[in-house]
Amino acid sequence: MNDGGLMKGMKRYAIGGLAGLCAMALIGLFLGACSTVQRTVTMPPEIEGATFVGNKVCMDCHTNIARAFPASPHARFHKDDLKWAGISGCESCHGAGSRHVAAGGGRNSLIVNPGKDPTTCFNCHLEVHAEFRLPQHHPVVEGRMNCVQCHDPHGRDIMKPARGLAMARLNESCATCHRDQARSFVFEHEALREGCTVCHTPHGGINRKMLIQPDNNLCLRCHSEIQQRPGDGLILGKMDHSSNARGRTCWAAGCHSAVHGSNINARLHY
Amino acid sequence: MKIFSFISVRGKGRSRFAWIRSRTCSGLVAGYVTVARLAPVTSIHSFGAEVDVTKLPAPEKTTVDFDRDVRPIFEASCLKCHGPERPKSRFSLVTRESTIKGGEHGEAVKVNDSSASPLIHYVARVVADMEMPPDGKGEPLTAQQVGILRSWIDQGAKWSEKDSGRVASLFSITPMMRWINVSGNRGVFREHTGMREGWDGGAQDFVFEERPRPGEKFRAEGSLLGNAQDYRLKLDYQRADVGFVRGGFEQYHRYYDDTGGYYAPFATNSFGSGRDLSVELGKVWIDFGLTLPHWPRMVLGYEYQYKEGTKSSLAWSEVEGDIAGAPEGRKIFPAYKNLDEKLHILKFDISHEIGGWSIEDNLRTEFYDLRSSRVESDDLKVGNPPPKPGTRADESTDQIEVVNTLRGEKLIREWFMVSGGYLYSKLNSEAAFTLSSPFLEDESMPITLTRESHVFNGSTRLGPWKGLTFVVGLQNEWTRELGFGSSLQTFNPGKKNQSTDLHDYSSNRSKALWDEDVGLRYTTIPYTVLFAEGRMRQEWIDHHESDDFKSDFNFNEFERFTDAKSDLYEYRTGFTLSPWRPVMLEGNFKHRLKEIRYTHLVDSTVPFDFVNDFVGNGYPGHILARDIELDQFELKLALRPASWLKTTFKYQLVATDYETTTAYSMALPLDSNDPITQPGGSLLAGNYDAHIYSASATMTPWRRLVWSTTFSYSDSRTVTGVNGHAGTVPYKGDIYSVLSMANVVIDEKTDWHVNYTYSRGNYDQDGASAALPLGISYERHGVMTGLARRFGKRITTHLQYGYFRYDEPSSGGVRDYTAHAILGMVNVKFE
Repeated sequence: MNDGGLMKGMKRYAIGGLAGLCAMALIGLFLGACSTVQRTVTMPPEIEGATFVGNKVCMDCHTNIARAFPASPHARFHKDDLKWAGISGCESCHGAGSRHVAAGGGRNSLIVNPGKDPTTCFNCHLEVHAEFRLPQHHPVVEGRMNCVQCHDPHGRDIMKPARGLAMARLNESCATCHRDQARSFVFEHEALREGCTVCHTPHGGINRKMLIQPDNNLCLRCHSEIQQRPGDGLILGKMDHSSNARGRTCWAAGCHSAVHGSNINARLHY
Repeated sequence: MKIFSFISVRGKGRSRFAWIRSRTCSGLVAGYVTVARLAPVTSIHSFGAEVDVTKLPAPEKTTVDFDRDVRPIFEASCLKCHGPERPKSRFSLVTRESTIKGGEHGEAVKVNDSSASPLIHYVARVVADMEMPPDGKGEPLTAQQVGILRSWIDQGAKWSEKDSGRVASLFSITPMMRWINVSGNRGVFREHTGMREGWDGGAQDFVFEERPRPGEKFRAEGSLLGNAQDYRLKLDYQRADVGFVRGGFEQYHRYYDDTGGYYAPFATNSFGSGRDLSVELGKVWIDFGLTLPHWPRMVLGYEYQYKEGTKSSLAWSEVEGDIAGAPEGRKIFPAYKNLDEKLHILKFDISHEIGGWSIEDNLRTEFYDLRSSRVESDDLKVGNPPPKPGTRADESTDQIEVVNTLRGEKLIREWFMVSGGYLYSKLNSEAAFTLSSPFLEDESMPITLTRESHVFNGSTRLGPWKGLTFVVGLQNEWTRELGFGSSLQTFNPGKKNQSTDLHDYSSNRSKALWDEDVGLRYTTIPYTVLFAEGRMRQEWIDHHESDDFKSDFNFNEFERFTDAKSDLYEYRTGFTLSPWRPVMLEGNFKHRLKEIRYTHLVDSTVPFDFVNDFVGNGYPGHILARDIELDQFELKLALRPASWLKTTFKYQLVATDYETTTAYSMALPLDSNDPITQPGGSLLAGNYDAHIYSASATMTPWRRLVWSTTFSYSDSRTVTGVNGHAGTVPYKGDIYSVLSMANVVIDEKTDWHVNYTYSRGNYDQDGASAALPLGISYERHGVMTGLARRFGKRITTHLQYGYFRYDEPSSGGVRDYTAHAILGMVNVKFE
């Protein structure tokens, strides 16, 4: 072994040894304090020492929310039974409410607010949690956004497209931040009539701009048509795209780059 | 004397006053007396109820401690309704002052005189219709509990703030320092993590809270990171039964990667724009709220949002290289978009209860000002210097939109609720567009856009009745959208063959929509909830668009008049089953079909029409129908075999088919001057299938350890109707994700936490020589671990280390990075 290799090996052993020592020290500290430590840790929506009280108790103060709740998407799983309180009622998301009730309510550590911390939402929406950890994602786990900005868990918000007693308008949730894309155009891209999620993954994905597919498949899902010369030509919209499709995306420079709409070009070229 | 003062405030009859005084003077009371021993005494409340104080339980003969004896009674029986948040009858038991002061029924506690205190009368249930807690809201207080409260009042009603969860004042600040080292592609690291490499420091968070008087609160909180220019400040002042002022400011940077595409066969296979891409996303706001008792709740607010900076664009430009000795072009050179967006919002919200109706009106006026420019580069030959920005599309939009929503709801019976609403919005916009490129210049005159919408909504909830809940909703929308403008197009600007055309554009879209929504839930079957939902939507859109221009060569002129009718049918049904508390099984199935039919009343290119059927340059003038059909199945099993272990397993299947029907049409192939005929007909244009498997486990095997892990695997495939063409390859692959975190209490003062995230995707595509494969294969690791240690009651220190690694072989490694981060924080807290 030459000097460089020896040094590299020693460095590796040193780092490994140091990590081992740290781990042993942590374990030692942990075991050594076993008999004396009184503190506990919990995971939302668990609230230490609290018990379930049921939706009817919540309704005493949160009347507007509780009376509309039976029409919300979350009510699909709800049974008005105290035994189900932790499964499907208010307390399944906000945590057991006895201590919150005893304290007379308030926004504090005695109740969970999923609007601030999405951990509770992720308990059921496992795949969404995973999507938020993919390379391209809305910054929810970073605390820049929260689930409630786009979703209405109680079914009362007029602007959010969920079931419930309120009005719902397509794309309104996205337009709050993405006005540039959702604004009015002289020539619209009719795909927007199906909602932004027809092309974008709303939580997170692996492709830039959170596209469902990063290539022409995204457009061809709708814009394919029967070919006179299958496998050779590629006629789309009365134009021969056979050479274009080989080296570019549909939204590449000089092509249909105004994908959300255009004020002066019907084919969304710019 | 005590009774005298009480009656002098409350008394409504002089005879009663005289009678009590005479009894007192009779010598029945001597020294420290308990008022209940006074023989028949009655008093009258402010609302006229008569009280027989002889029925009050006797005070306890002990020295009462508030925290030990009184607070548990309040917490168990009173604070549920008379807490700090929206207390019933505006009577709050949160502070000594508010407890004594009482609510809508007047003074509640007469200090040192429990028999004259209405609070005691209510909890002793001697006042008709004012028994506390009311029936159904809790068990009545025992005689001993009432006696404790009496003694507490008689002994001066002493209070304590201990463990109330509410502090008079709080100040907390967490200074932090952070260092991040990135090797590899820094732009990708920034885009993925939202963090910038190098040193940074400031305050991770700070909080100041003050409660100067009962019912009054001021709170300021925020954070500040200097180098990242990441700021947040929120101010909140509120006074119970008066109102609030809330305001704030926040800004953070959203980073973008400047790398373009990747094409392996080229000698130089990837490019960057060399720009530091980020957009500031800022917001400033202030709200004034009025919350006077019995008045409508009103909020007047102003908000200013801005976004400035440069973001990446996927409108990549051409790069020409050699493949097997022959020149080939691939559009992989990056592009970007400059953004300067400002938005002013004025809002006024008012809500009130009138006759049992909950009425709410929200008015928003938005002034939106957009300035943007999309910048694309000239074509590049591999080996040549980077190209200059050659094409620039500048856009501006000045827009005013007014939106008003009026909504009302009423709970007519416990089982019958109705709600309805009306939304009106009007948008006026003036836009401009300028395109500048070596081959084409296009400068618009003002472009006018208007949009007006009316939306009506009515819905009702019936039930639960014998476990059955029924929800019906109906929504109707009318929207009209107009757009028109003109522009001057110059081909080959500055060249000999320059030509100029004047275009007039217009579009007119009218939409009518009906949306019907029905939901049914049944909960009577033991351990089971069943639900079924249906939604139908009918939409009619009359769509006219045209492009008229004056030129000798009218190739692009067109007009299209299309009637689009769409029908949406969506059904979902499912169940939840929980025979035992530790087990829950959920399943649901959803089917969604949207059918769109287009009738093209006009689809013409005039006068250019060299083949009779080769008409209509407007797109999609030859699409006759489109169906989008989705089936989704979901199954979830949650198990809690022990109190310390919770597991969840989930499976989802999503399948979507896109069917497109086109008309017979003609087109010119690139390799011939003879038009060819596209046969038209129905085609399965696209198919997307995905299987998603997820599992999670959260365990607390010791009360000092919580560990949670989520695993997710998705397998998806997209094929299109023209994947037989060499330039279009199917998109399929899978993604694995593992998310794991643990928190450990090491000792009374020390915590350790670790967070690990891993994901791997494999969407590699074949066909590199014939296409531009854009499918990604990557692997990503992220670890954050750290210790938190408390020093005394006020100081907590945090030391964290982070490791991030990203490998993307499908981009030849040009987007890879490895990063190390060290973070130190000290939290100082004063209460």
